[in-house]
Amino acid sequence: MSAAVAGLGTPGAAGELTPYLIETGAQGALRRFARNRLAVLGAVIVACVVFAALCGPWLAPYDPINGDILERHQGFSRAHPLGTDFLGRDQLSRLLHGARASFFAALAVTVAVITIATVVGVTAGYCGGAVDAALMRMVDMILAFPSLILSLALIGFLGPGLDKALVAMTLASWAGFARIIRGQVLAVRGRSFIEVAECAGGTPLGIILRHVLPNVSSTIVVLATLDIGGNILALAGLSFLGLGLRPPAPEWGRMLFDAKPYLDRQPLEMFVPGLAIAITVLGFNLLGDGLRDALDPSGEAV
Amino acid sequence: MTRLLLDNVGKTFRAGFLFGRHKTEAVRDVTLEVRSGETVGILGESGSGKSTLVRLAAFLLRPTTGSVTLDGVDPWRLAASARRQLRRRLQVVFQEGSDGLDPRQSVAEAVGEPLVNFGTPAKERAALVADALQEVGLTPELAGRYPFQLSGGQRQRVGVARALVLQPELVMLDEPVSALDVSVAAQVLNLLADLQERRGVGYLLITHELPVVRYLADRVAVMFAGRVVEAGPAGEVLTRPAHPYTAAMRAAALTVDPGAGLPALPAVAPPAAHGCPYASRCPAVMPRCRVETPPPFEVGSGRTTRCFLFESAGVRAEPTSHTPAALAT
Amino acid sequence: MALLEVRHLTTVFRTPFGAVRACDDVSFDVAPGEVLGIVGESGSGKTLTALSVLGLVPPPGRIEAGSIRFAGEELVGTPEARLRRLRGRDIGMVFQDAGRALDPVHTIASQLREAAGKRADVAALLGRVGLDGRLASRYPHELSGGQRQRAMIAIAIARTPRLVIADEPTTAVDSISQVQVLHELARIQRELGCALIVISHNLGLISRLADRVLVMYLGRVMEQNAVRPFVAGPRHPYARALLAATPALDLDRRTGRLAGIRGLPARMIEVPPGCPFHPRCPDAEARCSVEVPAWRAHADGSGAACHLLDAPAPLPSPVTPGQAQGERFAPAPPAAEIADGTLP
Repeated sequence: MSAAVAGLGTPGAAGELTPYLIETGAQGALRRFARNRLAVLGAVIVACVVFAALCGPWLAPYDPINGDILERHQGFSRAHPLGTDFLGRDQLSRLLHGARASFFAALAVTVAVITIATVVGVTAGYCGGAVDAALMRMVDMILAFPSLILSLALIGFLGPGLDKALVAMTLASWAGFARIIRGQVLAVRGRSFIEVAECAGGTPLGIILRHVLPNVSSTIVVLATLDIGGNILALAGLSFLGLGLRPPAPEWGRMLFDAKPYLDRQPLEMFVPGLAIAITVLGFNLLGDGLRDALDPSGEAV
Repeated sequence: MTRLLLDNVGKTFRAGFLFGRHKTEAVRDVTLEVRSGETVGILGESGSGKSTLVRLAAFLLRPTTGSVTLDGVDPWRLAASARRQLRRRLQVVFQEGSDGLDPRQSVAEAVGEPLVNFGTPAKERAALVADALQEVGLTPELAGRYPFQLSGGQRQRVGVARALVLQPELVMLDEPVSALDVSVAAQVLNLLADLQERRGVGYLLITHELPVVRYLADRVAVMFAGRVVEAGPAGEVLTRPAHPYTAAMRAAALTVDPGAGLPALPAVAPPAAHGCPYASRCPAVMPRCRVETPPPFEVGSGRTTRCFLFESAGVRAEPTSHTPAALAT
Repeated sequence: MALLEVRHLTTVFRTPFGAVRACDDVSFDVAPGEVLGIVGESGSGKTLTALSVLGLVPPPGRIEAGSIRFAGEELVGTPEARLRRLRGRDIGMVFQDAGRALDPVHTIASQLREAAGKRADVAALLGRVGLDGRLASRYPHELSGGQRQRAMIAIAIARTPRLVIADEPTTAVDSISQVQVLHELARIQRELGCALIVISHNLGLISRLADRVLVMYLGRVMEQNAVRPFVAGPRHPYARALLAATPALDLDRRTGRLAGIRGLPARMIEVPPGCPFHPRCPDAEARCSVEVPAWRAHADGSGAACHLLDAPAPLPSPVTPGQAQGERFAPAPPAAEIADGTLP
């Protein structure tokens, strides 16, 4: 956070000088973001991952599925910059193809989670009363189980496969976000401009679309960014357990799983996908934190 | 002549769930009338129930007891869509700084929103918004600005423009100048007075500042602990208070007077739970005040006060009359 | 000798929008046991004047010029440790909104002990501001607005300071609690014999409490004088307009209008050249927009910064001393420019 904002902790000074110390609006947010080096690093990492996900198949030097069995367990070399796996498949090619699976699957889960969470959170927060109580009890029930355990249970019920894993992950993780969004909506609901909008003849749906959603949108963006990283990790975890993408399709978690038996002989094989996952998740988290600071300089939200 | 009538209105809030349930009576037995063309002031401290009252009067809260009617129509007996139509005639301006403006809406969007809601075609809208901005003394360049780019006085004018754009008959003003600088507050008060003269709009003015009520209001109701303790013509009630609380409010006003020193030390205590709520602070408290709640007594021309000191002097006013003596002009 | 001597204090914030001069060449004295009122509207720099004295100017603000001497000791450039000691012992600060300035997770007693030392008699300290000692075990949110403000005063005076600075001490409380808080402040000032700086936008409050008044506008001092002659005959047009815009108790719009000051309060980021008040001044002349008016001092220590004071006389619409206090502003001065509420 910039030095300009730090002084706001002093009571009294804030009132007279806030307009000069905090830049508001889109430009101010952009400038704050640009000044935050870690956030920019996160944005760069995320941009690389997205680029790999979109263009990976064209960048990959080898076929990710059919390797040369004679070339297996190779270390880093000119021919195979990141080595080969136990079937002699090029690790770099599998990583690039895998980026696509990991990123788009995680994105799909995030979109689904945020949509469900926004609908439930906004409904509960805006309507209040019995509707709120009913929805939040449901959320409480879901939150009572650890989300990985819940995903595993749901996969056990739905059966294996990537599509089913995604559904299970969505169902297991929307509740926490719904609770956070509800809290934000409650805060917006209590502000006078909502009453003013009611006086102006606004219908509940109109007020939600025109006033409530725009005012919680920065929270939603930040949550979504942080969630993508988490989902990449969770998906890798499920694949590692053999519950995600079926072999031989390339996927980062599966690459970890495949490399595990050879950890003592060829540790680099596990190191490559592991580092890719770690850096990607870190990138999304840095970006999310940066967005939060940039969009909400006063630190009120999230 | 539009007439908003609050008839014996009460509002109780319930809090807590299963255990530790309790209720708060924010407003009790308030009878009040506002007509177009006049200003009724509500004077009270925080916790007196005045902000609940403005929400009851604007159909934002449903009364627990009694009724709120606009020209005889009870909005709470109407379907939600019909109640929405009634809103056209009655608008609210909230305190500046209480974020009555959505930070993500431009001035033009904010002022035009009521028109959108009531289906004014886009072509006419721009002209009506421009007129409304002009009427409150804002220049057209400001239309594209966002609230954070405006000064406090400008934001309050946007709030007024937005409330007026539908040509309402009544406007509720909730602490319209408390958060403004002295010089700007004077501008806004004069603007409100001018608008009333030009448009014949009626105001329900809620504030804790006695000089503001005195300046704008024709009639006043002084609230303490959710009740109207004194009511009548503003000039008389505020210059010659009957109720000890009104007198204390007047004494506490800090006018520019270097010779006078500070006003006498007032009594500060939470309202009494039984009997007259002011008994806990009243300098003239009598034993019966702690037991009985005083009804409104008539004290002279169109004035009532809820104080036993005036029982012998006054006539007991009819508490449930539909045109309360104290507030009918 | 004055207890506090502020000379040519200039506090500047270097922001991405340019330099904001929150205090620009501010000079004043506070004698021991004296009550000085600083009056001004939002953005006048009154709060930052106080924070400068306390050495609490938030970054990126910095005192760039001038001197602040407290009991003969120069405070500008003094190490932070020394300033902290002075703030704890010799200068007490009462902030605007006790609801926010008190820490919600600590009891009143623990916050008092933090200020006054571990063995302090908490009940006695609360007694000094008229609060029941039993309130000590409460948390800030369990007190009323007036009680919180008084608890805050108790903390500020815990070490019997020689100077207390109260910044808008009553804006967050009701009119009746306000009088009570002011009574406590005045009583403490008398009993401790300390000097007091009261900062407020409310001229009524200042006129009742202060011995002397300092009027600020956009970081500059416009006028300073003892309270009685100031109210009877303000010299600066801004001071005059501010007095005229303050509502009297019995002013009725049907019989007399309030006089608003035309135009918008300028923002510190765009201080007009010349006299900062000239765009809103009803009496502005050509030179007012070019030349910064020099300080015109009088022998009695009062003074004002206005070009018009050079002219021999007559001052525009001075208030005649014979007028009764309550009627001073009714009817409003005939000057149409200042009575008009419209914006430029």
